[in-house]
Amino acid sequence: MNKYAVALYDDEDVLKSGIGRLQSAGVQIYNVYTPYPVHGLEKLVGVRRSRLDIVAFCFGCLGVSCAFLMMWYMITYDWPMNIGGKPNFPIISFIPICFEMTVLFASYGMGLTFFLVNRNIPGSTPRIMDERATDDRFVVAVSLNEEKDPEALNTLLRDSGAVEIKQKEATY
Amino acid sequence: MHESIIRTPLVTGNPSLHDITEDISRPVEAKPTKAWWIGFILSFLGLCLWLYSAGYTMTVGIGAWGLNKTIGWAWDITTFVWWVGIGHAGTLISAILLLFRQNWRNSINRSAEAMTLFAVICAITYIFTHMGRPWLFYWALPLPNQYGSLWVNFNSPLVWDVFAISTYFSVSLLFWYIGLLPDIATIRDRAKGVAKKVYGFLSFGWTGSARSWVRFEAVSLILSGLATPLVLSVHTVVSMDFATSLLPGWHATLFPPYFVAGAIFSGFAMVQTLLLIARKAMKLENYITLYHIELMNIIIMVTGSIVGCAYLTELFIAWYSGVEYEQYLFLNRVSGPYWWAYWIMMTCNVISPQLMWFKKLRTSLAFTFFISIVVNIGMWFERFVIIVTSLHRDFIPSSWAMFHPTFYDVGVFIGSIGVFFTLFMLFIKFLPGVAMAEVKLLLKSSSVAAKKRLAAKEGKTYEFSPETGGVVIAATTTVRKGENHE
Amino acid sequence: MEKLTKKYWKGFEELYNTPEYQESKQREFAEDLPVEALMDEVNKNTVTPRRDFLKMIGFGVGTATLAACNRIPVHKSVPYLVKPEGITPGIPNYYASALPEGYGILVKTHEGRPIKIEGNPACPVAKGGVDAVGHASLLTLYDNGRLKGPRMNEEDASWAEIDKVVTSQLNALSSEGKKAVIVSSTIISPSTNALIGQFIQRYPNTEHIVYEPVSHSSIIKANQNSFGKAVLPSYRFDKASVIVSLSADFLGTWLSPVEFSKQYISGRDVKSIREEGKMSRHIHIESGLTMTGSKADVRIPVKPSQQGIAALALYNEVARKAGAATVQAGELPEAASRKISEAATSLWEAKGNALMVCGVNDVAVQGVVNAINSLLGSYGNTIDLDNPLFSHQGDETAFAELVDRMAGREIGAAFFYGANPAYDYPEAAKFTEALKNVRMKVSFADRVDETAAHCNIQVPDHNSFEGWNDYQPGPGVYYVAQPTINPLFNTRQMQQSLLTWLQDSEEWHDYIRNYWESNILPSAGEGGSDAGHNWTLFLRKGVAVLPATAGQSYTDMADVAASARAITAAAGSLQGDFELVLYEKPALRDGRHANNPWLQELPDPVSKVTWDNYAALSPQTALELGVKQWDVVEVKTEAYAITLPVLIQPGQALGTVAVALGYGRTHCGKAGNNVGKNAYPFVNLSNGAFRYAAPVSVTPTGDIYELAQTQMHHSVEGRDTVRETTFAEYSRDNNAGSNPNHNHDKLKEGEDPNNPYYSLWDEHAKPGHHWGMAIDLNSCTGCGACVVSCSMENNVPVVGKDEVRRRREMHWIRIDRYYAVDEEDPDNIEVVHQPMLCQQCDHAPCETVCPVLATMHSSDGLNMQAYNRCFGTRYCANNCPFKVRRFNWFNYANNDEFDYYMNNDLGKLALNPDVVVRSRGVMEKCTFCVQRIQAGKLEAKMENRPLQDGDIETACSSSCPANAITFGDINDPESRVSKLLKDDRVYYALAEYNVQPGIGYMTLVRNKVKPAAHDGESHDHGHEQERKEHNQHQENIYKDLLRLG
Repeated sequence: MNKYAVALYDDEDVLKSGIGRLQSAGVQIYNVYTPYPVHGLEKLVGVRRSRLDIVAFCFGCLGVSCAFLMMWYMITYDWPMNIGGKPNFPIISFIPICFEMTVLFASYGMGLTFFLVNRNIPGSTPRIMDERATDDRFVVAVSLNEEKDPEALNTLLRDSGAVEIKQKEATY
Repeated sequence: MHESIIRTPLVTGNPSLHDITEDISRPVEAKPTKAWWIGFILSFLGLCLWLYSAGYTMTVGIGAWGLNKTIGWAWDITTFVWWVGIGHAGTLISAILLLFRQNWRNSINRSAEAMTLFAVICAITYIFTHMGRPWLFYWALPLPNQYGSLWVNFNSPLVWDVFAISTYFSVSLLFWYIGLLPDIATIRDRAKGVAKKVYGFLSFGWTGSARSWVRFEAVSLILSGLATPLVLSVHTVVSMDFATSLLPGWHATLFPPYFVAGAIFSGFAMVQTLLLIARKAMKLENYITLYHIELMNIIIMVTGSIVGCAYLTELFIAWYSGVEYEQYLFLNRVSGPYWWAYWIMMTCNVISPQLMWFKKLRTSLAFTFFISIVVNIGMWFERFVIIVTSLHRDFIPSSWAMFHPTFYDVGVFIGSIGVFFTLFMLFIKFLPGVAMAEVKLLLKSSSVAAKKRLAAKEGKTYEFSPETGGVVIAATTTVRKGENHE
Repeated sequence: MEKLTKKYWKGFEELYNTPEYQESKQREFAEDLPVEALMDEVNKNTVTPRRDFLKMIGFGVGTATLAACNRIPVHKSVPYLVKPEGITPGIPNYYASALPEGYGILVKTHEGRPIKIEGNPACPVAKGGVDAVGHASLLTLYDNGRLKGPRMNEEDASWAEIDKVVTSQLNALSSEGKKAVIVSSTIISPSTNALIGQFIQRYPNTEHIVYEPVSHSSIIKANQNSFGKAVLPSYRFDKASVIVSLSADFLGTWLSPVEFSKQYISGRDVKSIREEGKMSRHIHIESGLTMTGSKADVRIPVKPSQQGIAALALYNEVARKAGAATVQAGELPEAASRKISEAATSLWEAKGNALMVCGVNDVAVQGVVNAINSLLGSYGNTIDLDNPLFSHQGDETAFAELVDRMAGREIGAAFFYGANPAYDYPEAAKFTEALKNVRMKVSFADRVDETAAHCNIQVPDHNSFEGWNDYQPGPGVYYVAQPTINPLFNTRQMQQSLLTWLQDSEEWHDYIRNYWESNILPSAGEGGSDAGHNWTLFLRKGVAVLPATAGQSYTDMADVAASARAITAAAGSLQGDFELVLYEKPALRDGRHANNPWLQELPDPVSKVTWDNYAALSPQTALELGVKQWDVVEVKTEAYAITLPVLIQPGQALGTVAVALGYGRTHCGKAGNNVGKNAYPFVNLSNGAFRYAAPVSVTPTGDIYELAQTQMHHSVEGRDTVRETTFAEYSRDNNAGSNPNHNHDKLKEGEDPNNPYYSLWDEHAKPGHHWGMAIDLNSCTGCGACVVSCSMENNVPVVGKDEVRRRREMHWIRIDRYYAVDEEDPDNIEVVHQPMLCQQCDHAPCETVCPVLATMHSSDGLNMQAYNRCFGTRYCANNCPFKVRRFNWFNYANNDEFDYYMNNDLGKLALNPDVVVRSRGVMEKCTFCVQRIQAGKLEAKMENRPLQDGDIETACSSSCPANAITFGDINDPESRVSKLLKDDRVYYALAEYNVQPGIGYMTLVRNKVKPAAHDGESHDHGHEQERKEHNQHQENIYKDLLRLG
């Protein structure tokens, strides 16, 4: 069972400076939860830039090739016929569908990956440090498992500008 | 993020982060208001009308409608294209404006996207109702038929439509839902009991951790990058239903840009209509400010002018081409039996938006509401003119005919509007109608409060009024930059 | 007793009859069933094991599914246990037969039911043509309105008792000295006439009176006066180089339209105008615009009261030229008299090859026409008094007397055969009143029609496809009609009835056969007729031709001046504020086919109106009267009045109103009852003949009644989808009016002169056959035979008045009709007929847009339509520039909303088993009769020979009485069609869109009296512009009148 010290801040600037202090004091921050994307935070807590764009690109390529092969197979290879005197391999007519399929594959490929890497699965029970994290509080969580001196940590957190400090036991 | 003080604030009043949560969650959590009930019941009656009319049509056959051997499409495809067009603004607002970093979109994109989805759903209903044998709709998909592999015709714009519309719907849905996650999470964390369970399920376990926010923003950005060409492509493909045909009045290379502009035009008008209602009904004046409405009016004005140019170009090309069929057709549009439809279109789409040049008018809520309705009427007539007046007098005069709508034509049309509003009513009841997280994002930078703070730092005072925008009063001089919004 | 039978024991238990056995014998099952076990408490609340549960579910679902699968409808099919000779299921048989109209046909039967009528090429009269009425008459066979058996005094009766009554009555009558009378339409059956002769011998107090509502008696009388020959002459339009018709609709309804069409066209078709370089000139004088008038080179609209005067004027002109005495003639409008003198000149120039026909049923007028013809020396050349027509012998005076005699109780029995005076006698009320005084009234009608309703005995006759009959339209030409189906109901052929009442045991078939073998076949044999003596041989051919006697030339001996006086008198009696013109429509004729939905829905060749008659007014007259299209007006004489919707009819003579006969039936059946208004009461007797004109008043009632028209826009808007030229220009340049800036020398090898357009894509290969069609606008008379023929071949549904109003008629082939102002006479109008069907484009716009490939191109050039693949987006129809695709808006079959013939088992017998009946929501269109193409190919394959040109004919091409449509293989350079398509007149509609139509049209040529003002290039812009302006001008005036938009 994991124990956490949870510090709640009420302003993104205070949060940022606070995190700075904690890190300089060598506190290992488990995670930070904010009601909206706080820009610059990712650098502080050292989150790498997302590579979802690459995923999207690959899926896009998959999409366009599927579309093209499908159409080529269906009306050029499998059963070519005379449709209004048009050629049996009407590449120009393929363009719209190729495009649509590219977009479809790219967006869904990326979207699903996003859900997966985020552990955003329907019905999954999230590790909520504090319910106001989605409302108006900026939450910093520090793991207490190998923490020797919780008291010191608490003072440290209070000094960093937290408006409230709790302990949270995550049973999962 | 730093923002210039002279930019018009996007959040008025002085709400705290918590107030924002409160204000936006209220409609979802509180009991529905009387206004909501009235709206919902009216729309639901419309939905019932749709069920009846569409049901009857599908039982006895398309003959229930006023179509004939010459005019094979009329109200059905007219309204189909109309809905698809309306369905453009949402994605446009969320995608293109995001790419252009237009922060003012943050407070309106949610409902706009919802509107997109519902409009596209209405459009899709027409794909079924207009078919002679709707129960075989799946033949339009590239499936082998039971006698072996008779596939679909990839030369046919209708097949392109199938792909374009379905892609557009699915991608918009994804975009919309990913945007919804943080807000659903908010509702979840405030809710109790069953609601908590439901919203917990719907929130996909969103926590708002730093890492997920980074991915969130990446996804939003790339999705908008994908959605932007998509939204343009959809109406391009729809326009190809006509442009690739042989019919004078349909066979025009001008159509793709012309249709897209028209789509944005009508889409924004519909967003206006809905926002003005939602804003009042849900007391969101602080987040959907006059400034938002003004900006959208400007877009309506611009796209309206583009559409106007398209109309004139059509006439010019008809004359310039020297094709007698083409020339007769446009002469007939302007002065033939359907002259009234053409001139309604002209008045509503070309003339009325030009009034938006006047700041007085474009900042007047009543006028905006009126114009937003007028524009959508006009856009419906645009499609009617394109489809019916082109068909009713084409190449061989012996087949020339007129179209007379029946009760069921009208019923399905009114009904589809009912379907649309029913869905929208349910949406504003059960999901946050404004993107909370994104509005909170603005609070720090471009709210009136923020501006005041900024001004105070420089030893100045900052005042704001919806009409004039923000005013910075220095100790000695006064700098007026209210109207300035680049 | 029971000991007698041996007792076998099943086992020792039974043998020794153990108690166990005793007990077990009582029980139904050998072992105990575990019922109690299941029932007791313990088991009740045991839970079912998962596996059992799954088993049950599985079984349940499985059985449910299987049960649900069982939707196979029950088909009652009776196999041929003994296969009848010559009948192979799926293979049609053709039988030579003939129609009561008096020409030969072939009847196509499937498993013993006739489903289609084809022309009989061996027929000397129709030469393989069949008109719309002929085609449609098949549906009368399957008419639900027919009597199912004999009736007496309002209730079903047996033949025996009826025969008893009739014979006893007949015998009684002779003793009473009262008369019996057989009232019939003209009977051209020699054996029947012989039989009636016998009947009259047996019952001498019997008379035979021939009555016809639409009478030509005046011609016969006039010929009696002029030449002492009371006959209906036969005419030779093929020999005539100038034809003047005085309101004789000889292509549509007059005397023998099919025969005349064939003759007429032979003077105007490709062969004549290209190879022989001559074209007959047709001048038409009439009041209403008839189909024939619409084909005229020169048309002269005159009032009925002026028709006689016109005849006199023409006579005087001709007489001057001939140096004969002129007579006193009245005044005519300027344009008319000018044109008439031009006509006279043309006639005189063509002396010997000229022909004037007259449809005015007035002895005096006919007399004048006879005089003209004899001055022109037509007798013996273009008119033949020695080989007269036997049809149309109706004598209205005789019938009028009969009515009086009935009223005077002189008649004791009346037999009605093919006559329906209670409906179509002008004084029907008087007739029915008189009929009450006749004791025995017998009707042979196939239904309880207006007359039969007043008869106390109905003895329904066979339909003409059910019984034997023979026809002799004129001397030396004999047809036999053989039954092609067993009688559907308990009916008896009229002749058989007569035989029975003659107490003659002979069968009617034997009677005919004997008659032929004794009277006709021998001479046919001597005449070297290939039918020979052999009856069966003859049956195969269906027609016997005896050597005809050459027609002599005659000169008129009647007093023209007398006629002139009569005419002026009659003209005076016609003057009213409006002059009413009564005419027959080519489809409905005198109304006997009124219950035939095919004919009701066949658009009028000129007005394009279906399902109604109407009051046709010229635009000017309408303007003066202040009425528009569809305004209801009351047409009134002091005797009779009806209200009718107005139809604006350009070309209608000013101050006249035209109303069609044959409508307003009340006892013909579901489809035809109360369609339109009955105009017969307007007919009146004037010097001994029915006059189809009357002075009337026309007053608007203020109501509006929407007519069901298949075409609402009447100007071609100057578009070159129809092209025309004059014969003068054509003889100067064969490309005149057809192919602008067209030069054969510049053409590269293999380039189609008429289609010099280039494609973006490479063409698909066109191996083997490539089906195509050539349509000669010059030949097409617009009669609509092709439309009916197509409908019956392809199971095209009838949709009814309301659906036609909604512009949803389903005809796969339609005949577009366009008006253009006549440059020389603003009151007149020029008309073009253009058959329009699927053009089978090689670059079909419809194919590209179909999402599900329901329509695509076959390798032999057909634009195919797969009904069961179509799901009805209607995109193809929208993208079809010719608008020839038809959509099934509803289920037309098995749907009582459309109660015509596809919803009852009897009517369905008319369906062609080779063509599927389309369901609702499906697009359909002309397929070039693909089923016939396949059949033809198959036949050739079985006989393992290459397909010959002419092996395959489409329903429209085979039936056209004017040979306007030619079908064949374009890839075969020797086929008729590809030869025709090389003609200079050929053009392709909308070719500039490079849709590459498979149908080439041939420019209309008008043999005008003097070439129009602009000489030479009729295709230059000036002319087009001129026509455009004319039409535009006309459009603007009539737009409002015609309620366009």
